[in-house]
Amino acid sequence: MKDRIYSDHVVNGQHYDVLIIGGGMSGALIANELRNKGKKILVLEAGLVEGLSETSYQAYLSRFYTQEAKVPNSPYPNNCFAPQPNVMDIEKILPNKPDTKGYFVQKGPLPFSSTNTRSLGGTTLHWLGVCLRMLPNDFKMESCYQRGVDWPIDYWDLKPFYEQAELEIGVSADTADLKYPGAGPDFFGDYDFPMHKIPPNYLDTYLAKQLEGMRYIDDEEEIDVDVVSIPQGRNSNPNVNYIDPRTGKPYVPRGSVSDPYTGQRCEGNSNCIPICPVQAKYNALKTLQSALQSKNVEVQAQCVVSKFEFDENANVLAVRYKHYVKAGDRSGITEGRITADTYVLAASAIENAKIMLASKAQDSSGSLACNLMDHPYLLTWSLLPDHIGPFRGPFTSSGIPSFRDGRFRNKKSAFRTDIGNWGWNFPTGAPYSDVANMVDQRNLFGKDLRNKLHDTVQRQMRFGFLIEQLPSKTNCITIDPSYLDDLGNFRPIIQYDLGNYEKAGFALAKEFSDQVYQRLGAEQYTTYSPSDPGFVKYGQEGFTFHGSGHIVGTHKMGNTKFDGVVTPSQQCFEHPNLYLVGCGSMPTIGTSNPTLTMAALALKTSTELSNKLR
Amino acid sequence: MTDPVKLDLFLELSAFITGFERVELLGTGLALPYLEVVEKNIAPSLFVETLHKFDDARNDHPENIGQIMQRQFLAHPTYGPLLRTIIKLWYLGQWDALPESWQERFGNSTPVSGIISSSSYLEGLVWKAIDAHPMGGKQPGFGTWSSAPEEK
Ligand SMILES: Cc1cc2nc3c(=O)[nH]c(=O)nc-3n(C[C@H](O)[C@H](O)[C@H](O)COP(=O)(O)OP(=O)(O)OC[C@H]3O[C@@H](n4cnc5c(N)ncnc54)[C@H](O)[C@@H]3O)c2cc1C
Ligand code: SF4
Repeated sequence: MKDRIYSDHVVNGQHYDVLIIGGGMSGALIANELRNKGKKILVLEAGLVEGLSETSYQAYLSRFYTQEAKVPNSPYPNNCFAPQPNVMDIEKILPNKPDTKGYFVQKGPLPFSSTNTRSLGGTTLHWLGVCLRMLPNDFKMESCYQRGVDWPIDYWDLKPFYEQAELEIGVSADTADLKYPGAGPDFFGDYDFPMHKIPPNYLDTYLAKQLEGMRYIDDEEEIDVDVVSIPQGRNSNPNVNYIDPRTGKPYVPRGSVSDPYTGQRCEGNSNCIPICPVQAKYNALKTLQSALQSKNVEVQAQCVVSKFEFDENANVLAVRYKHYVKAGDRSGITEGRITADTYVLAASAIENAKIMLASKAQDSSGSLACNLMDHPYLLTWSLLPDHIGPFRGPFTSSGIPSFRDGRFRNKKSAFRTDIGNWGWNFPTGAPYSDVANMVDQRNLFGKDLRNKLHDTVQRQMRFGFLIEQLPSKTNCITIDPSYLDDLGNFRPIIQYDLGNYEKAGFALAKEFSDQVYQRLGAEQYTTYSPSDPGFVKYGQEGFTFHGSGHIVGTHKMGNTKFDGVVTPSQQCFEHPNLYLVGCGSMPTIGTSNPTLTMAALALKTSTELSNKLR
Repeated sequence: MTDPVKLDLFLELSAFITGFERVELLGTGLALPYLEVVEKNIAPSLFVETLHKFDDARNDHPENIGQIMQRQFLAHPTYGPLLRTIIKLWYLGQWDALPESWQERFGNSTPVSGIISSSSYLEGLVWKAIDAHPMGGKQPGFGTWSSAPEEK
């Protein structure tokens, strides 16, 4: 396998049957599905080949341990030739003055705070692993709620691909537990997941008991409040009734890429973002490793694609890129050009759009590089009257899906509620900040300090609300030769805002949260400050949102070239031998974390490509 | 070689201000590295002075040492910032740079700051204090998070 992964520049001038740009989950899934078709496949990756060996994965982990700011990209070194955004760079954007501190040039008015990773394995290195299907109504927002747009496909078209994606990722859940508004009995049918659910956190059980029978009364409807476990791409006990269709045998959880016996279960390292030490959490290195079992698949790293060349029929003729020997070493840069029969652009939603703009690609729909969406993430936090044992287990194990669908969606955003297991880690930087605060401000020391810390942190709880954002043409990416990175590639320029629909969603989520804390007798500590980068005003109220890492919508699928950039199989309407894959193809975002849907779409694309390549 | 009396006093002082037993501090394996960190950051004379003052106070007024620590050490403009930084060193495995004016007067010429090492992060007392494990290390095992927290 190793001899087909290149860091030195060896592929220049070659021709491949399929050229995949980006070694993240989308690219890996397609390489893996096509590996046995007898076709030559190359994955071209901008970042370094790290993480496949135990030593290099451990290097990520050691880096994480010693970083003071333990943000999502903290284990993964920044590489000036394939730069990546970092939440530490997010600032308040001043009017008429783009913020250029980080990799993204932020034109605002609001900051786009989501990040991606540019290294082999992509953003799944630091993703959380929540694997939710979209709900049937999420695919028809316009017909149901006169908001957003309808997809050219529906839930039922994707259902078989969701099942396939859940197998490849290795999703743990029990369908009997999963209750979603508007899902209906056929949502899962008689299907069950490869592994049983991740055991619930103590807090989940505590909340389920306390909130039993709670109903939230909105203007038009009454909403049952349910605590429901979350399907996750992390290993749990296998479901003995699940026969793996690939082997005909019972399912075996897939552990770490360097040692299959490590990480067969989630060991409760409480660190899914930014790095799972044992790889119990799925990452795309696993799928790449499987793809690389075939001699047909090669990976060339350290090659950053800048653009496509098109022929007279608007087919892609070649891809242009630069290879570097060492990040920062200009003398080691060489230019390269590769041709292929079929091209798959899988560099994640913002990079995909940027490369298409740099290539001056055709787009009759006017939606290329537009409709950038995320789940604006609203936090609320409180101290419970009881100790609930935070900082144990995965980031989240249950949520409250009650507001994922409902009639209110014609006026305000639907949302999904995460129950956080790591105390106030996200909102305040607990427990580190608690130590600093108790020592420096509250003048505690000795046994008092130890006891107070215990009592406070043990009572910390927080909710996270993932607010559905509607597509908007003005949330877009542009390029400008005055903003280039160290390799001379365009830096994405982002224009991003939220409308009243999303802000009304914040208000609904906050009101719901207040009612829950009142019911629990919790002391609320939530504060939003006008100096926060993501602060927005809505009437008399103000809210602060964060990014969810869900970068969606920049090359939406449509029925024709006039209403979309790609077909439902993610084939580019106007450049037929090119496929744009990833969350960028999604016309709307719904309330589910988008990667399972992205994976289902990649598998749909693979099926079409398999048939074509036959 | 490290002066055993100094190490001993450093441990006694650390145990008192962190609220952890001496044996728990030794169990982190970090007593010596932390002593080195302190010595790199602050003038040797001040450190020795602080240790001896603490030693005298606890011998002379064992019944009142808590209040003395609060009033004469933590509230003291020179000792206070140093002791708070040592508490955070044990709890977080990290040396927070002292204010510049303090550093200029009492600091050593080889300051180090930030998280000392992977093990200092993993051994941070904060995790024990809150009955958890360091995020990303010392995995407690599948499903352990489902049980109710132990009450003390
Ligand atoms: C903190 C965080 C938590 C998340 N949690 C979840 C979750 O729980 N559930 C969920 O559904 N989603 C989650 N996501 C989102 C999820 O990580 C992404 O949707 C997913 O990883 C996207 O996969 P991708 O393959 O399209 O892109 P990526 O994973 O970003 O991979 C793209 C690859 O292309 C490479 N590349 C980029 N530019 C070039 C270029 N010019 N030339 C060559 N190669 C290039 C990159 O180096 C990278 O390897 C999270 C994201 C973040 C940031
Ligand atoms: S809780 Fe720990 S072991 Fe489980 S997935 Fe997260 S980081 Fe990995």
